[in-house]
Amino acid sequence: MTPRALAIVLTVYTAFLAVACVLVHASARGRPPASEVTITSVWKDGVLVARSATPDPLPLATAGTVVRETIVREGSILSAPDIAFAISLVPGRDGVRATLDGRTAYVTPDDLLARQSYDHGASIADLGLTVGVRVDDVIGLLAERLGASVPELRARAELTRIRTERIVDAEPPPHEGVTADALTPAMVKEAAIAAARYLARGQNVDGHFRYFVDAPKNKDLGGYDWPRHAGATYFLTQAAHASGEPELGIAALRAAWLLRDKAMVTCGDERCVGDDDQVEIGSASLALIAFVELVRTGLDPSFSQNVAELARFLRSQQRPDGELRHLYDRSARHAVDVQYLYFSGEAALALSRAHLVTHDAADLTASSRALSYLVGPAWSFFGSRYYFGEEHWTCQVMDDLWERAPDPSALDFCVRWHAYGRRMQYGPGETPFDAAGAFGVGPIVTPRLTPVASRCEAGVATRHALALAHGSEAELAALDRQLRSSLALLVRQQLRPGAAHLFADPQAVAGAMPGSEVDWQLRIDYAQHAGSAMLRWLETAPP
Amino acid sequence: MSVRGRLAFGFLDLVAACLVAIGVFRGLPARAGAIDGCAAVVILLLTVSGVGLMLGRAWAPRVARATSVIVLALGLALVATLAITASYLAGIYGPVGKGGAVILVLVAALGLPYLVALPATQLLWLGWPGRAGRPGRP
Repeated sequence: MTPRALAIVLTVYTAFLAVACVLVHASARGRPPASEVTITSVWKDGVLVARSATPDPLPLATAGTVVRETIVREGSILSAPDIAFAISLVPGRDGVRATLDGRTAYVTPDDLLARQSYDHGASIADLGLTVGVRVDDVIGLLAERLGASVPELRARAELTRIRTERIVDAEPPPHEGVTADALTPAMVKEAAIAAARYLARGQNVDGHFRYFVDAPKNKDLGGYDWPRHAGATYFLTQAAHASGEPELGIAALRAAWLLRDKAMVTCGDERCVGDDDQVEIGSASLALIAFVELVRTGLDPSFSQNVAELARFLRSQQRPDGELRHLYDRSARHAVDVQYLYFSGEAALALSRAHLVTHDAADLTASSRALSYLVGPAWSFFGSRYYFGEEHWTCQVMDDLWERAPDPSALDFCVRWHAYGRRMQYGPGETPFDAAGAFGVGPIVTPRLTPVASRCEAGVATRHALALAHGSEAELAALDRQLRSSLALLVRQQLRPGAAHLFADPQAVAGAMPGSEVDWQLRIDYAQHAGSAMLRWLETAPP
Repeated sequence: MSVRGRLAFGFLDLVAACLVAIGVFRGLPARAGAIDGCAAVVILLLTVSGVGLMLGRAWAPRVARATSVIVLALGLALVATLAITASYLAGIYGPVGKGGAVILVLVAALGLPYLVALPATQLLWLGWPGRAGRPGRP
């Protein structure tokens, strides 16, 4: 082949590709509808009870919340393969219109939110990720509304992506649309206490929490684990202290008693937390953090004995280089030297907090050594200055130790970690989602709120230590902006009374933190991370 | 056909086969029949072509030429698919879609040297199938 022939082939290819890209972009972007279409729905107890779309007459007056979704844009959609269909709808914003034999049906964003279909579509098992909308929900609903079978709909219906804007005939939730600049300490405190009340409201008399809840249906999804139970206990103790509400204190104590009386077992000569033959140290670490908080706030000083027991167990799990062995085999009576995400940081924070109660220098030394390992050998590889993970406990340890055993290299690590994170923080208007303050790099997955909350916990800690160390004003200001932006997002996204037409029992889930803007499955640690971050910000941030 | 050129293109074909194998069967987080099948064909062709060229077999230029045409076609199809997907996502998601679009463009750029530049250069070196036995300028 001659160079000239190859050049011609590649030039023609490039020209065709460029034109194809422009056409596909324009077709996917869509355009405003030729005439205004508003879909009016009536929702009661989270169930759609009536609907009509212009030009049809409005639904007959029915008790419930009236919601109007106006189509502001419509564009083409790839209906096959399913993975392409799944990622073709922007979560919480886009629905689908189907036309078959002259009849038209809509699946609106509210329909898909009520079914929790967004972000539960195609599964990428190796990444532990599900992306896009559940296609079966969309197709099933359209087929039902058109009175057609699913194969018929797939074969013959014309599908169009619709972008809608929603107007609800109800009081807006508190703090709707609050921005970083408008955020006040009073809002943050109210939100934190609301999150604590949600946890307390869902607690059984034996101290267990409602662990995982489908918010629209107010249905328990099962599962339980002690680290998250202990985390929730810690947050409730913080909230009880901050608010002075006896109900929160009682809930914290119930949860702590359950940990102490049912979950504490023997690990060789020490006491640890767990149910199984092999226990991990995360449960003991978070239980220890909760127990210290109970002692420190005066809610129940009798836990100081358990603090000492768990601190001894964690110290016994530490290797000579500062790293911790994350498992203990109770039958074989020895530690198992494996490492998992988060546990070393949790243990280091637990030992630092324990020292405040035990005043045992061994606890302080163990925590310092663990911190040195976390910011040293544990994060030392080619390119480690340009890449950071999700671990959010290390910076809390660094701050906790700062006034007793300051570690400047750990502070430097945390400042760089946050600078890296800020490069991925969304600003206002940068995404089609309500994501200002969240972190992300791609369009397909709606930003998760728990990483926002846990980065806030670490950010509050870093800001506090940096201020104590008289660090750079520019860095402090950048951290302040980052935190205010993230906290405002958490306050906006918290489930609150108001426009709650998609929930079977809005009051039951009021104050909870969802997984994301569209993932309304509620696990106890979502509220805990957000609430703890808020309360620590109130304690340490400047007025 | 110069010995140096034969050895160089044989070696590069084998390197490209390894990179495609690692990229598809180790790097991709999920399996898809079409992608895996095309990758298997590419790996097989590049390996046979590379070994044949390095050993100086008589059939090697014909196989290398056919391999280059097929790999170039698949490479251009891959680039086109990724570029059109990026355009589609940017159209739907707006500004945030540009992040994903950049990732797809980077993935396309990663494949360009091995799936487009290498087979194109090899075709120039070997000449068009109709001119078999008359290798192009090295």
